[in-house]
Amino acid sequence: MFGSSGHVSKEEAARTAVIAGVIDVLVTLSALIAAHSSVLLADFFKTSLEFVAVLLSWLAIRRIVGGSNHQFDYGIGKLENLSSLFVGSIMLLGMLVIVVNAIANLLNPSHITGIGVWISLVAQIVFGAVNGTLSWRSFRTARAENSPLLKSQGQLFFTRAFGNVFILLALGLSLLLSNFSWSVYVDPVASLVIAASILVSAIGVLSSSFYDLLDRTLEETDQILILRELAKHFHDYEALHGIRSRRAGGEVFVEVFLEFDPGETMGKIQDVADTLCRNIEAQIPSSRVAVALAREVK
Amino acid sequence: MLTVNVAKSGEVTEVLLTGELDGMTSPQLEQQLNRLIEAGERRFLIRFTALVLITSAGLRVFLGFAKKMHKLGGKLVLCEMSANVRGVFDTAGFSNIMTIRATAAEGKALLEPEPASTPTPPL
Repeated sequence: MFGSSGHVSKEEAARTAVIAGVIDVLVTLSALIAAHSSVLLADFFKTSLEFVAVLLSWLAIRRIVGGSNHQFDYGIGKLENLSSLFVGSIMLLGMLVIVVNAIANLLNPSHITGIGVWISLVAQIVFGAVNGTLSWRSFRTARAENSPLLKSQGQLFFTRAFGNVFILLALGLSLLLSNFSWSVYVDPVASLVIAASILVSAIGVLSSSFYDLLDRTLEETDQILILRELAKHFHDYEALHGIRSRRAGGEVFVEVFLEFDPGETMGKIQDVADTLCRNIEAQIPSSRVAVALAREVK
Repeated sequence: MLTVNVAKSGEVTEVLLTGELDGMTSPQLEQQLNRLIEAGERRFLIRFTALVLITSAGLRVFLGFAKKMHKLGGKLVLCEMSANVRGVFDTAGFSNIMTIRATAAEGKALLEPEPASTPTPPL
């Protein structure tokens, strides 16, 4: 009933991300097996954790789109935010793995070797381009649909593209500058930079998802918008018996309890209710407004 | 914190608001206004002189009250609003549906029943 085409486009975006994630994990695993590089080990852990996050998001969206039991007919806000919380937690975990590896490398430095390094160099170029494109697509869809899930995915892909560029630079510089003794520190230091970027993204995803998970009332500006619409239609109803509003996830739910003249036709009442709903929904993003008939205070 | 003082001046019921009208205090005002309606009062002058804050919850009370007065054929005038409070009423579009005057005297003049006209003797 509500925006099914939007859910389908979310599923397509998430499925594409899962396919890209599987390929990414396989390539980083091959590079890891065929090389002696702690940065590649960190890359493998990071890629695997990110893949789990993307997979969970896709499964959540599949359940929503495929569900015919009307369980999610009123939106997926909370599920999206829970997924985002999980994604954020996994990003934190990945960051910790990278930091531990980087510290180990700094304590016991060695030159990177093996064919896996060359596999990884090519992979970083390809996946950097793929992740950059996916990030741009996710952010664009997230803006259009006001979806915290796709926003967190966009941040995830951006982080991954950033990681690809950094790993490419770390490996490239380590190879090019291998004559210098200090070059052994290039890849662990680059890993720490990547870890810092993941930390920033994870904090952003966790804080926005946690905040959206809390049911809360609308901001004053939105409340006044509702009252302004009721004032515009002052002569169209008999009494105002209450307004209930709350924000859940990225969505806003508003119920207006109005009493109408008993002699008024149902058609006129329907017109007033429709106009009120339409006007309020147009002014409050992601809002769903219902006008209920009431004869006493709610 | 909100203090509501009610005074009767002829046919007019004056309601003086002091303090803040928000989600916590608006039920108190709503109850008092309802009691006055139940007591048969129909001409209200609401004085905002000492009201320092009004939120959407407070506005909601006035919207509901204005509807009741309209239905009962009563009269409602709001007066002595600070610039801030007036701004909130304007933003919510309430200035278009409610009578607002700068001073209590102006408001009272609108609420006082018109004196019965004395019949002119036939020429």
